[in-house]
Amino acid sequence: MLFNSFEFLVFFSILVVVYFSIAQRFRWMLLLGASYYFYMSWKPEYVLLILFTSLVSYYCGIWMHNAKTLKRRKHFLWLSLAINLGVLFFFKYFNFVNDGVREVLQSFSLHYSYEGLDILLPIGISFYTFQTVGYNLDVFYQVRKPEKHFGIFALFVSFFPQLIAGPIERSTVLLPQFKKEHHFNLERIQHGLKYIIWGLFKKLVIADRLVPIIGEAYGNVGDYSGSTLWFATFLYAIQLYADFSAYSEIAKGLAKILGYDLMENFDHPFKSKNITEFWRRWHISLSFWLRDYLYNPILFAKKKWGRPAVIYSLFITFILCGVWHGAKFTYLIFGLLQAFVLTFEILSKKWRKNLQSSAPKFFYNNLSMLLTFGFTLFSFSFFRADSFSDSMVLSKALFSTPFDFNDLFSFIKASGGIRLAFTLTLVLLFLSMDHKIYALVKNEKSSRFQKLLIFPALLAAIGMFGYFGEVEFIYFQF
Amino acid sequence: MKTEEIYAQLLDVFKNVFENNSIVIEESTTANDIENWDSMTHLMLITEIETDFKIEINGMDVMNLHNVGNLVSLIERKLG
Repeated sequence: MLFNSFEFLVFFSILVVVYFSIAQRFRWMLLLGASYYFYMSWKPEYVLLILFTSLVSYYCGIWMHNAKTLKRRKHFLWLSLAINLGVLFFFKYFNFVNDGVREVLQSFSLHYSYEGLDILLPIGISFYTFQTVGYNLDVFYQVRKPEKHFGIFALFVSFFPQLIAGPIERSTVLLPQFKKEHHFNLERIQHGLKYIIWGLFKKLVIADRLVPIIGEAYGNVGDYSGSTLWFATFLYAIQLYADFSAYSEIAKGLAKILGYDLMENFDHPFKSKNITEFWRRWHISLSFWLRDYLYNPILFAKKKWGRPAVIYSLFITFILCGVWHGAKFTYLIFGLLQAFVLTFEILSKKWRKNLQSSAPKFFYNNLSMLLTFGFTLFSFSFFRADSFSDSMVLSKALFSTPFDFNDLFSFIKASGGIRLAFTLTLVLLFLSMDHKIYALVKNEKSSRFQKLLIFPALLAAIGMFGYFGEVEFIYFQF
Repeated sequence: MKTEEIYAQLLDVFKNVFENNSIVIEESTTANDIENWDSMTHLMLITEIETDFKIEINGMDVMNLHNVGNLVSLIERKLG
């Protein structure tokens, strides 16, 4: 059941009416039932996995809290990590490891014919596993006490607006919200609707329209020159941003209507002037999760090393950030590229500061932004490439023939000429107005005239230019 | 050691680590309020505090630091 489907509209409308007409003490049951129903509409038996994860983390949390010694607390933490990450590993990486083992054995002429498992990846597993593991780490670090109410805890793990693709919420922020009564509030509902309309616009008018164009280039990387592939990668960056931020904002809007606040997951990432800043603006809930639960613990465990500890933690964190997306070499390269550039940024901090103070501000800022965006595109080419060999073809072309404009023009012509020009106009309009519209969505600006005009205009644009083929959100595959 | 003395000594550590003599810290100061307070300087800050106050701060303590106020209470606790 996708957010951009009629079925979901019916489901959510009924839920809102029932939610506000029943007493607070029944609401967690309703939301939990709705969340499980939402998940089961995709593959019913996998809901048992969520229930299992919830039970493991719930009991590990309580046992950790009751443990008399730090050693025992650690045991329960390891138990939770082993089970939760074990399940994640099994579904996400088992076949990849199995293929690797087979290849190695075959290279030694040993017979190994097991083809691996033919199973679907449980949708959203990377997201809810991280959220649950985060809870157990919070209890371990004594940032919070364990949740005693299993129903509310199960709801925290499965809350349907953010179950499939985040934001990965903190237990300290989301759990307490389930215990507070949220009254019907028309103003808040309007606010939630703004998030949803803006999200639907980004998804249906921007992201989904770009799918076939990017697919053509990335499906046949050997046929195109660097200029076309840069162009397709640029469109892919826009698609990924529009698609994923759309999901996050729709999630935020849905939760807001029911009275809950979810965190901001994006903050205009393409405006970043360096990659450090980029990761503070892109998929914020994941990068902050990695910072607090992986990077910082490693860093402070190795603090005696001094500066090398920072680089060591960075590499481990970004390798894991890469492969968190899936078992593919291209994701590993994506992570490694980030780690290399972030290391460069740490080592060159003083040098860059001096440069910044001596160069003209306008020139320095724009060049930094351009270089950062260029690197982001390059790393995204690995992220999007269908295979490792494709990514090698891509990298070669991106650097050898970036100015072959004839190829680009014939690609644009073949992709529908005027229709593509129209889509591009929409993309550029979106990029130039994203900041301003989002300020209105967040109620940061309150120009009544703009407010009254912009949301009906967005709805009209969705109606006129939206793509209603129910394309899945990109991050559902992670 | 009195809380005010801890603040005074801590301010010197901050000035030193961030190479900024005009820095001001108070209970509610967070990493967002101070320029260049990133993970690198955070690590330097913690190791400086360890040497300066002769205490040991572990990963567990670091997890619960959200502002300067938390940091001062941690130092107070460690100094016993």
